[in-house]
Amino acid sequence: MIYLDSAATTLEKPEAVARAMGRAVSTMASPGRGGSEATRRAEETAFACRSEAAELLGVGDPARVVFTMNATHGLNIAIRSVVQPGMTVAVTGYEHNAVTRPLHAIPGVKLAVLDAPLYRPEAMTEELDEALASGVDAVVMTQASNVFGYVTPVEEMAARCRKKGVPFIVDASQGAGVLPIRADEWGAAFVAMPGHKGLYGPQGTGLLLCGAKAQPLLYGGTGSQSRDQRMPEELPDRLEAGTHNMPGIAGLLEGIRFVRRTGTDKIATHEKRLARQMTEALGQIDGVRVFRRDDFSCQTGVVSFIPEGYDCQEVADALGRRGIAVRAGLHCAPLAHRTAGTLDTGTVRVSVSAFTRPEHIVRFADALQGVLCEKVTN
Amino acid sequence: MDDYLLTARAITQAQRMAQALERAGIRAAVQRLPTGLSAQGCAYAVRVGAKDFPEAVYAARRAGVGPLKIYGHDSRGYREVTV
Repeated sequence: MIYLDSAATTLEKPEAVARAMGRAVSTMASPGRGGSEATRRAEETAFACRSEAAELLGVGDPARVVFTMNATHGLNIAIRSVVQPGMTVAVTGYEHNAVTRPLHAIPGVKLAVLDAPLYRPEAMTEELDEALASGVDAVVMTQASNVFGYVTPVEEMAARCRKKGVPFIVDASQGAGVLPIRADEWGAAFVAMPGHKGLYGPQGTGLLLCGAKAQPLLYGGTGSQSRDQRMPEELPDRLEAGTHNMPGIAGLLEGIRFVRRTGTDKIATHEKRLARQMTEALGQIDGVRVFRRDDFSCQTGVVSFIPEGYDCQEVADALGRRGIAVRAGLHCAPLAHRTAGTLDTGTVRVSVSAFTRPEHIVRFADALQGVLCEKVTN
Repeated sequence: MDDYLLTARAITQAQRMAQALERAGIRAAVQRLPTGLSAQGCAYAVRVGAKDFPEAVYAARRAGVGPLKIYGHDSRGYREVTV
């Protein structure tokens, strides 16, 4: 199989990830639960993971790196900590349901959608200025669209929020591991990300970088201050009730080490080169509409396209039967499709990773040609 | 005193303190705080040798990582120390 759905989960991981997970299953207990060698190993691994993540993601204190189950979990904590009923919250027009559903669940929250066109970061920043001038209470934004690979102007928007003192939450699901993240420098209240995409950890892992006071979603044992029935004030304990996912954390540690060793810039360059190759190949196929900015200045390794006259899901299924894994539909991001004008059709999304090779793109393009010819013939 | 316990509320805070001490060239070991010393239950400490004690407190405070309390330890048991 040629796997081109890394925006959902990177399937191929560094070999050290699975090895570390296997070791953790049989040698690690849980941090803060006892004084045994097994507990100590877990504590050291968890702390090493927080420390490596803090270095990679621009957090001055590893205690502010909190383990979550995924980005959605982190975003729920972040949004519940910042957004109160009745508030007005600015979001980009490219948010995932992981942002919009938690906001929708808070009574009376009004959204100010920054729906500037795709690949127009300057226009988005202008819209934010207008929203801030009209008095929004918080800003929640994706670092890059999971549908179109569009890299939003997060640094500029962070600077504007800092200046106005408006809390700022970043969904770094598509950015972690491929785009620079400087959580403290941005002054972000929270930055949430999965461990299983660009950080190359296993599913069931995520990180929440905390820059503001956080409210727990889960209450329970933390291995600290046990007589007190309130959750501890200190991070990470405040947000980490219950037994840790040590195999996941051990795997995530190796994933983060891989990213740091390889270099975010190098991974991003590799992925962008593949995305460019992909758009060029798609551009040679009649009737395929590709979403991209010509100079690739604000795009990750995620590319969406519409095969005009064909159903996107059927095309993805046909590619799947030829051994090519892509993702069609709305990608859990109806707002992004609405903004881009693709809500009715959806798109076919192709996304790469550090392990994708140019020949994979060639085989994908050949397979797509075959699928479209086959459908025309039928 | 034989050695000292520099206390922290949670394991990660204790690990940060130990990391700061090790960066200052001081040997430090993280451990759970004896139950009798923790009013809130389940707390942590960094153990340092007597010869490193003053420098350890200085290094921890300079790094902004504690300690909450300090206990000296010898054959008679633990005794809170103020620095």
